[in-house]
Amino acid sequence: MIRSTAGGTNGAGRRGALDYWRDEQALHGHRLHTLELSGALSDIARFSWIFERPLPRLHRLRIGFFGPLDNDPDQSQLPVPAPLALQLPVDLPLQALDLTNATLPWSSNLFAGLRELRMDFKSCEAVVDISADELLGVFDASPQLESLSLIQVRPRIPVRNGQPQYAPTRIAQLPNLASLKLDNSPEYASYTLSHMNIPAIDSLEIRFHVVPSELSRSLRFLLPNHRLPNRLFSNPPEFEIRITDDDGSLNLMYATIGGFKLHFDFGFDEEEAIRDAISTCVPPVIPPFAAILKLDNLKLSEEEWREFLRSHPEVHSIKFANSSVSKSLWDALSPTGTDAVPLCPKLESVLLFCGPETSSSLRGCLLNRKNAGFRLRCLEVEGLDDKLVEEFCLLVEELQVIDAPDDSFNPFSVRPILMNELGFHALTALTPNRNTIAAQGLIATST
Amino acid sequence: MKSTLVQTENATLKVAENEVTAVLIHLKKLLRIKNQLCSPLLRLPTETIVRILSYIVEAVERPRIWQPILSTYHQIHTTMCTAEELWWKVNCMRAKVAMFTFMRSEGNPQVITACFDP
Repeated sequence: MIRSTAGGTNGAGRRGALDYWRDEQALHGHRLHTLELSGALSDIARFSWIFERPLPRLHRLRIGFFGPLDNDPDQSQLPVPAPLALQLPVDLPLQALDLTNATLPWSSNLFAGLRELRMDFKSCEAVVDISADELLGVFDASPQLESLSLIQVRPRIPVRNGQPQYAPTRIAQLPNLASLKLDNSPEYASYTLSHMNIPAIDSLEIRFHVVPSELSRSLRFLLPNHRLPNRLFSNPPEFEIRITDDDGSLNLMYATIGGFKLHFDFGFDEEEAIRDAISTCVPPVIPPFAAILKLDNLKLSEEEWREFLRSHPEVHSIKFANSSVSKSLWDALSPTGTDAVPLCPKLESVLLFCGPETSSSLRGCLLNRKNAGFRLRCLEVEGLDDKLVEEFCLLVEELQVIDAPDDSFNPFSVRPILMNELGFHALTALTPNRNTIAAQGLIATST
Repeated sequence: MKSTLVQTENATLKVAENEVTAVLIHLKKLLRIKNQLCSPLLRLPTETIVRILSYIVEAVERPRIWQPILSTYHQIHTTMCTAEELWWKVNCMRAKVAMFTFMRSEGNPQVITACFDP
């Protein structure tokens, strides 16, 4: 019945399945709507014949080429020297096109009518560039585009009198584009952005490699300009910054403002230089109307925190990932004798991991804010021992103790505080009228 | 008023009897299937599923199993083989299954995924 000798899961077997389709079947392809093909550059001959037949319903096409395996113990994949120029029939009714290390002529009809386009040349040694006119041609051909990813597609920035000209010659209208992902240096990403009007955008993600000394300049290129609509910034506006470590060194930073995401890759620069660059460049770019802050590994001095909090009076919620929070923040939030109103007067809730090194400064901060009439409404805290639970529940309206350390914020890991877990002093401080244990047993409250 | 109540009670009892009868029929069927699955040739549900799938993809031509179960396999096999719509997606990662799917779809699948990674 099946006469092919192909078998198993090796490459020859997989090629055998397609060969079987070509050789043994009355190949029609008239029902084919999705085709995903990937392999080495030399594999193109193994499937190019598919496009010799009519494919009248082909809506989704993904073609990707990958470099050969290295001989190292990890068998990592080597880059592709140059992308493969595809020759595809121009009458395919494509709606989604995904190319990795493969190109089409920029003027190809296949770009017309697309709703999703992704082009990825990250693992390609050669630079894939596009002129402004070609870029506009692609956008003009696909006015219905809803999702666009351009990964290492470099626009050619014109130079006049030795100076790069970043101003666009024309702006294309992409009224339905909701998701845009750019992976390129800030200049190229910004130049690409400047050529499109995207009123429906919900998610804008930009990734790039940066050295610490260039961070400030990069941010100036990338911050959403006045043409980007307010819908990128959710209401209440939320700002998140995560600085993560890979192999023990901080090298990735994720900054999120509503639907706008920036991914910085610092490579192998020194940690101190990265920290300095972040603490200098990032706080000033956080929108002054930010109301929710999600912070991880952002370490500033007390004075830097004061300066930042002074310029962000709308902050009502601060959430920290599981890394410990520097003492300097609590010292900054703690009102001093001269402050009539403490910084962040609207601060209502804080979520954090409370290590022993920060508990005393946090306690002092909460006590001072309470005495000044700015008692915290809700404190969600992880890593609190029983003694601290007793103390903290007197300083805030609601205390939620989060059990089990986790790498992420997990609201479902809230552990109930049971009555018998509260010490004698805490219990006697509660009175039935003014202070209650919430009905669910989740929250210990006091006023 | 009293006769109305009696009529209502009778109707309720009738409905309940019908439901019990239906449940009993289902239970008997389930018991029969359970007995079949307890056959020494087919002890575990997983084994049953594997055998059915093997039979469907014709990896096993004449499985040595209890005749009623073979008959059930055969019915499932016939149904699936004649349902062209079932064979719409081909993943060439599993060459043999992919070729079988090509064949069942009469060379006319809707989705093809082929990865030639080394």
